[in-house]
Amino acid sequence: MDKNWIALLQQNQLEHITKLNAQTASYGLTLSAEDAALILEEKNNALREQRRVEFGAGITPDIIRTFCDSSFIDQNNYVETILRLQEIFYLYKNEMMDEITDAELLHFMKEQFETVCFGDPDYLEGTCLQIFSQAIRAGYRGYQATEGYGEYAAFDEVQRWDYTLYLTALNDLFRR
Amino acid sequence: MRYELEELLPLVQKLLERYTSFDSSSVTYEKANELMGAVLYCIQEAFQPDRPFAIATERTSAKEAYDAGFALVTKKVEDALSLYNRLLPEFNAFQNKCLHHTFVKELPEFFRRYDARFAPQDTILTLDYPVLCDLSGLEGIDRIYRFLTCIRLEQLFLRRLPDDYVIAALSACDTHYKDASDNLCAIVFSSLLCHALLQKPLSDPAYTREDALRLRTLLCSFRQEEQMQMLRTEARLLLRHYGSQQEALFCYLQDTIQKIPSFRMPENVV
Repeated sequence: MDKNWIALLQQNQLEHITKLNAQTASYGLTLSAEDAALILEEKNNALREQRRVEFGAGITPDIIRTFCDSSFIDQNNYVETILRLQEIFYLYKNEMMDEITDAELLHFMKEQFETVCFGDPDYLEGTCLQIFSQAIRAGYRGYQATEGYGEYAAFDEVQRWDYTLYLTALNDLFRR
Repeated sequence: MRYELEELLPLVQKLLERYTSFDSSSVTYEKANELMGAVLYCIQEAFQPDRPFAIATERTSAKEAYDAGFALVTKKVEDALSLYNRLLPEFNAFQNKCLHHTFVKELPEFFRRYDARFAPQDTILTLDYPVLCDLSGLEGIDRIYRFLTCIRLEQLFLRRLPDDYVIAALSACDTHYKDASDNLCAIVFSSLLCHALLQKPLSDPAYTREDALRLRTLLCSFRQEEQMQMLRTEARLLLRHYGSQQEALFCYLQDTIQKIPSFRMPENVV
């Protein structure tokens, strides 16, 4: 049985992506047919590189739905960010040995992308997810109870400002 | 029966979704191939020729064949477990560690871990104890079930002999038989057959160099085809006490009978 049957499983996903414009337009984000085709092509490359096979509608619609309301994504960086998030997603499904569900991983990624990473996918890939995947490979399963939310604080190696305190300190600086 | 990819893919997709409980939209290549293997295993089960009636025909769809095959796999697991439970109470490994470990320790692990839905083709065990039929073309529950039927025949054969005779015959062949990975039934049957040919009493299980030379002289007095005929006749006489199982035992021990001329030669006897 050759690998062609794996490629056949992944057809018919273009429609699922373009239909989402109706939902993302309210955030100022739309994808042209060419954008959608590019996203699908790069997704297939990422799947091949990670030696994974996808079925059904795939993860891209979920990535779009999860990240479309991000403070750090606008029409200028929309396609590029989706491409990066796809790569990162499949990489870490492997790194976490499929112990984590799609939803749990997406929740974790979105939360960190919006907070610790300040919209930087490289930081997301190289720091937060790397540390979290090490914990999962070592047997950590706490994310199952939280669905992937609020997990990173326990593993974060960097001492960070409390966000509210940071804004207060910034305000004080400007008032002086 | 060969099905097109387009017929098999929906089955694999359903299995993928079931495997991931719809919590994942992708799996690794290895897992996808394993699940395709699971679908094919069940379909092949439905087309196996050794059934009293046809489960699947050329007009059976892939889904129907898969569903029927999966039901057969599940039934075979139940039958295998039932056979194992019937054998276990009177099972005797005659102090052989390999047989004891394989039957008493390993086989329960198979029944505990076997996944008829997502990995029916996985045999899980190495089945280190060597039975006398060729299991190489079998996998999954088919291999285990065939193994159990072989053990059933062996235990049936050995149980009718006194325990101390069996142990003595095994020790006479190899003093370290308890640690060896040889088939016990072949050794004991060979010993029995040689004793019968030499008209030697079973109370003397030892097999000396003189016995080996006498056997060689006896066998050499026949032409090759007459030699085999003589050995088969003698084997049937020995097995006549096994009633309805004598034919099954005779077939099971065919190879052992054919190896007698080389097995018990003076070169092999210390």
